[in-house]
Amino acid sequence: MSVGPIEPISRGQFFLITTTSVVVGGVYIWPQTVLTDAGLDAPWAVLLSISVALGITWLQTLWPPKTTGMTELGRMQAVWGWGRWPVFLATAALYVPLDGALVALFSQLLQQLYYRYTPLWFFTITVLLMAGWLASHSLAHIARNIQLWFPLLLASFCLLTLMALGHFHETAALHPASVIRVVPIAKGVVATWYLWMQGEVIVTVGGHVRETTWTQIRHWALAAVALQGAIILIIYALVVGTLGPAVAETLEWPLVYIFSNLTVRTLFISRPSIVIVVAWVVALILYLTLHVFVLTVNLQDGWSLSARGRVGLVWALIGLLGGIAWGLPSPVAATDLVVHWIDPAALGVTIMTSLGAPWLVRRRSVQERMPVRSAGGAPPRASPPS
Amino acid sequence: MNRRGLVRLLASVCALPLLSGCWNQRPIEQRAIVIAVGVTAHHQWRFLFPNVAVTADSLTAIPSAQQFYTVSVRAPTWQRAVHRLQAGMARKVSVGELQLLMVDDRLSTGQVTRIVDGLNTTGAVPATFWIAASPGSPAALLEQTSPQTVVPYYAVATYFDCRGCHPLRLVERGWQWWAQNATPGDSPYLPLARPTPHGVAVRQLLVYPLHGRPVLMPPPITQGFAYLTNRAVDVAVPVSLDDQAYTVARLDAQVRTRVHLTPRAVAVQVQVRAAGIIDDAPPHTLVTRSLEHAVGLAAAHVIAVRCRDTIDWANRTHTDPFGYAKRAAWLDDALGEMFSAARLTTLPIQAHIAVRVTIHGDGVAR
Repeated sequence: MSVGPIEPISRGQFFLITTTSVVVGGVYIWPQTVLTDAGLDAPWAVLLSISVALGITWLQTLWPPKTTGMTELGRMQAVWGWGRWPVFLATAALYVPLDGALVALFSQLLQQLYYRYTPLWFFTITVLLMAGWLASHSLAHIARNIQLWFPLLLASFCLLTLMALGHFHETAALHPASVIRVVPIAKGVVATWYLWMQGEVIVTVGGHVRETTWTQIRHWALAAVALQGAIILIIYALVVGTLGPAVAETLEWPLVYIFSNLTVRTLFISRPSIVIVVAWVVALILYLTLHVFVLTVNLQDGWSLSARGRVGLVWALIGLLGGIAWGLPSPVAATDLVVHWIDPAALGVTIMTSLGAPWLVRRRSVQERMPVRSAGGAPPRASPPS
Repeated sequence: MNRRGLVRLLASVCALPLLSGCWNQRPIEQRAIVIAVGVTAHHQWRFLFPNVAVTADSLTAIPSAQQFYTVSVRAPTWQRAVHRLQAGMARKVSVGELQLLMVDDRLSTGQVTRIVDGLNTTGAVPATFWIAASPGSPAALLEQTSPQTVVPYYAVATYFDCRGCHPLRLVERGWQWWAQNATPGDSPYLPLARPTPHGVAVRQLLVYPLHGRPVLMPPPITQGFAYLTNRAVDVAVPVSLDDQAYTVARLDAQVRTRVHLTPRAVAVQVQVRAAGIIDDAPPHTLVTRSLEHAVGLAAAHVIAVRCRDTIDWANRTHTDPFGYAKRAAWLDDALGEMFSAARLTTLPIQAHIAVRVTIHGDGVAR
């Protein structure tokens, strides 16, 4: 195993890393996708989506304590055996295109709404170069960057949300459908899944937190998902309560539209939404950094690469993301790829692996105990330390 | 600094010219910044530009008549109008600072929808511009100057910017009109701006029905509309009590509304709570608690009558500028789905209105 010693991070840093690994990348197109697919049942779909995300996070932190390894791929050896490669690569094959599509969407957002005279490629390349550069560094380095930037992102979001409350008038628009219909709600949940694809961050990074147990890791991960759940609920309420569901559905970037409509006449600033653009750029870079870092560390572990080899892998992955982003010419094409192709497949794979891993671990421990008992009274063997 | 740090520093310095503001910047005197647009009923688009002052000295040297200039083009849509405008300009047209869109009051709902949608769908124009109607062609109103406003501020837009300055808050942003127009059960409206010797003034609204020309809301009805939609900020109401004239002023109304759909109408319960002062009373009147109570009741009656007249006016014109049907359909989606978008917007409104006016003290005398 060639993954060298990884400097452990604190529990708070793990919380911020987990928070940054979900929602942040695709929050710009939220909640258009759920409104399109769930219609009036969107409030139920949003609540169900958050519940499913919490449930999956809980399941994902059940099996690692029974395994050992530096990365998730290493830990999967004990659970899936040779099957760890197809399972891991299936997951990676879904979140790499997702990340590419989110880079494309973000570049298109910046170019179409903020910097019209700057070419699209400029944003794509700049974001990817910075993500690649940061992902080449150590976990502690990335954690410190997130520790600096995430509170700034959250503060600017809260400031703009408070200002946007002045336009929030239509509480009736938040009223869910009176009759619960399963199919639109299910479609709505699927359409939200791009928010929750955290790219194996919890299991990979959770093993490198100082002075903690997996129970505490589980609590922090659940808290991170709950925080992001609260944020997407706030954004949903803000967008729908300002514009109404019928209109919000027609916008490509509803949240950006809401913030762009804020105006102030003080401090020589007329458009406060520019405040969040800086933080959003950094947030997307950190989101991509985490996904690229985690994928390359796992592959480094699996393929026994050197540290230099991992850096090469990082830039290869950055090139792949750039290629995917380049191949998505419009926001509609990128959103279609995310919602109608990646989301259903990713939800299916995530549910299968999240249910499968704890079940396999449990079955293995039962099988290990059975012959010992039948042999007559010897104490069960202790599970390996995590 | 070690060699690696020096290389990084040099790389950063070399990368600076790549920053977008460095290589694609355009000086302000080479830009034509659109701050207002007027559209006539004959597809004539009039763009208003500030005359850019290169130095602070030249700012004061420009005569007021030359502080702004306009360019007109004829085009069926916003996009084609901007194309034609650019073709005839020696500067790069920039539309991202648009402050005001003024439309001719003879434009139909469909025509205004096309204009606003054209502006809203492009990312180039933030939808925060004010939108208003002008009586007839907006050309004269667009170039209206005011001694109250000097460059670089634009007089007409400054009127709309002034928060809490006017008795009734009758302003509308581009995105608000767009959202109202696109939602079934809501009739969008525009403030009708009229020129005055000192600038502009808004006292009435134009309400846009589903099809055809907009309907002009008379001033008393506009006041009732303001009470019903929390837009009355500082209103004075004349009341008569025992043949004596009083004025209740500084009225600030807060409204609570409950709506629900019935198979034939939108049922609305409105509670208006207003507070004001007795601003004008007959000479030598000693204000007592019972007089305050009686004047408050009389003012409440006046407000209630205006609100009822406004609802009757909406029913007569088959419009719903309050958005009652929209809200009722959100709350009862099962019944709401039974109405078409057109039927929902034209549903009759059955309103029960309750008004209470509280009189506060003011000044040193009773």
